[in-house]
Amino acid sequence: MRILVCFKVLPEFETVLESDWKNFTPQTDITYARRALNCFDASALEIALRIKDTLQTQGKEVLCHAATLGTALPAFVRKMLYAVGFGQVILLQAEQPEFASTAVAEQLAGLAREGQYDMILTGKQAGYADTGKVPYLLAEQLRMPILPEVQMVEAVDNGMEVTHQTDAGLYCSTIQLPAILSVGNSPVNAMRAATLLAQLQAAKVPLEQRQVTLWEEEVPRLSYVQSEKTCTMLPEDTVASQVESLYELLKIEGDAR
Amino acid sequence: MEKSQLIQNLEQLVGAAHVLSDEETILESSKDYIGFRRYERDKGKFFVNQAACVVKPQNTQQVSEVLAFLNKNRIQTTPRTGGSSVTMSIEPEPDGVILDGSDMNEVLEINETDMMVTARCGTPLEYLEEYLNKRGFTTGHFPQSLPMAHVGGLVATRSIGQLSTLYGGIEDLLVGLEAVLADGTVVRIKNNPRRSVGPDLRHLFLGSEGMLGFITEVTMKIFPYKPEDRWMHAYAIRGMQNGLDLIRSIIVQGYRPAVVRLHDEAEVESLFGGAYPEEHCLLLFLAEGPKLLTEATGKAVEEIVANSGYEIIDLGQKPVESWLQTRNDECAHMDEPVYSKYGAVADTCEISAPWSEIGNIYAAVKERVPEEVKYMVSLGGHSSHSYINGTNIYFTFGFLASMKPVEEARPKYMQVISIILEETLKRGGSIAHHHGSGKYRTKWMPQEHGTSYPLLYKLKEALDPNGILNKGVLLVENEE
Repeated sequence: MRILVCFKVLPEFETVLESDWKNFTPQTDITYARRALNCFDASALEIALRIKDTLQTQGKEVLCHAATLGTALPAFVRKMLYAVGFGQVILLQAEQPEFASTAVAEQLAGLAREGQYDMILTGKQAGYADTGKVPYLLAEQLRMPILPEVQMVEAVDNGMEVTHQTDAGLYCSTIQLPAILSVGNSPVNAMRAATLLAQLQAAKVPLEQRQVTLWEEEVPRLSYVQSEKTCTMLPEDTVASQVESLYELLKIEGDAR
Repeated sequence: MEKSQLIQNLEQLVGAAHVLSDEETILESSKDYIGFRRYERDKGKFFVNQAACVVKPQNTQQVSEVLAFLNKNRIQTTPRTGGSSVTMSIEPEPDGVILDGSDMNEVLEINETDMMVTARCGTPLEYLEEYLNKRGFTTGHFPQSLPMAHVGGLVATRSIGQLSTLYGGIEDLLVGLEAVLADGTVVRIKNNPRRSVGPDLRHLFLGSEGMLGFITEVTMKIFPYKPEDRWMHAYAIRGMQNGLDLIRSIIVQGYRPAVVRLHDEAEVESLFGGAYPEEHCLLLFLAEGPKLLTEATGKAVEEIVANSGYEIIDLGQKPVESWLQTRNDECAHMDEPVYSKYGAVADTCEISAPWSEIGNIYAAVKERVPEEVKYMVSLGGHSSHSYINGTNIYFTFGFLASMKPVEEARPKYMQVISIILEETLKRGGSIAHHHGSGKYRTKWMPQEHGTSYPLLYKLKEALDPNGILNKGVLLVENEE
């Protein structure tokens, strides 16, 4: 079985400076911001590894590959992915993947076709721009069925048992492959850690890099929205007078808007 | 004494509302944040002794009466304020009493002429700092536990802050204090800039982790607060020893930037998410104070770095700004399964040593721990508090624990600690720099103190002859 997991490493925005937020554009230098695997992608990566574990104990051959599209991949992520058991880590190197969902999906589709993967796992968020479209566009490109809001995937005798969230509730479906599974809020909320020994050995394994060019989609204009919480003490003593005071305050705010 | 009788007597002293014996409060008050305990709690296990109750006195008089009663009846007592301990120091004895000073929360006086602030032991440091900032002052004391810690505990553990290279540790910031001894005697050490009237009695309580007395009031120095005059800069450097040599050079030449930090390559990956050049260590510098002095310090650091002869990458000031913004974020997640969700136990262990040995200790630990401890997933370290004669290393580590029963996390944890402390002691270093030693480092105390260790027993005999205060902290229990 061949599994591809599409993942992203994103800046942790809590570490971005206020001063950079105020004038934020896709070109703003936030290279100092801490990087981490997107949480949904981390779930997808771990789910893939668990499927691999299960199938390997049954004596079945499983290849797990991980692919990302972006300007670079931090070495520690590459090392970690190899250390936890991914057979290949691929970087599709491109400038400015944000707000380019269709172009990103095209590139990933090209990779998927080449690799003839049986199952593709993704998260549900496209970069920090969060269009949420890439998994669906990928499915469209590959003409593959897609199941979104996946919480868990387990290998069973007659296919894959997928637990997924819908508007009607939580469903457990047995599906046939090939398919794309877009992982949402999963109880599998982190990718396993690798031992130092495994990391040491993985450090020597190279990253597969391929240069790709993305055509530009329309970049929306970004503006900084000030959102502050304030606290106003109601000085009155009685509940009745406090209610009246609060009503007047809310009326003033409502009129101001 | 029967538990019900104990509780009744305590209620008579402090009022029923301030004696809490429900299981939830006792567990919450016994919560220590040492790594294996966090892991155990995340897995739903509580291996901590159960106290009889938590007593929350409202003033010094009540502390005195409660301690006199507990001492008379020889009831084991565990002092506590903010509960940010990471050394097992606030874990109670079975059926003992947790004496919680966190309700004694008040800033009593700011003296702008004498540059001092006096606060009661349960005053949160974060609150005190904000209170002072609004008035143009700062304590200069910024431990990572700032969102959680209270001033009493900060003095009791001999804590230190992230800007210590300029302001000093708590021992440099403490002016005077009030404490209550085990027998209920209230003692006050007056506020003076310096005294030559015998041994410095403040040091009976500074760092004694509540085993010699209960601190009820603290007076600290204050400083002008001028964050707008800061200078900051970050660099990447190859080699931890090179980094240590560089910061030694800055300190020995007499410069005192408020922040001098050196993070190794492993921490650049684990703590900074690989944001900085690979296979490099990260240097963070910050200077603050009077504008001219700050500028001169910054200029000097830049020159020393430029002329050092090391291969250095200039990273500008944003890495320091970003670190300033997020440095205490860990506190908000202390009760979340941040590490256990990976099946891991993670923690830190800080030691100190002279310049000539600190690099050797670091290298020895980095080599030995992965060799001897199975399933390590991370091991890094940083220097964050430097002196004319040495510095600290704050080791950060994690290991996989999920494949074994939960109760095996602790012995594995102690295996890592043993290696760190052994390598430190071998080379003349100190086994604890600023977290306090609590109960988990006690067994190494005889080696740490050597021939001076009996002095601690003498002090204990004099100040707490019945041995009710914080049993197991700092003193190895002598066999009868």
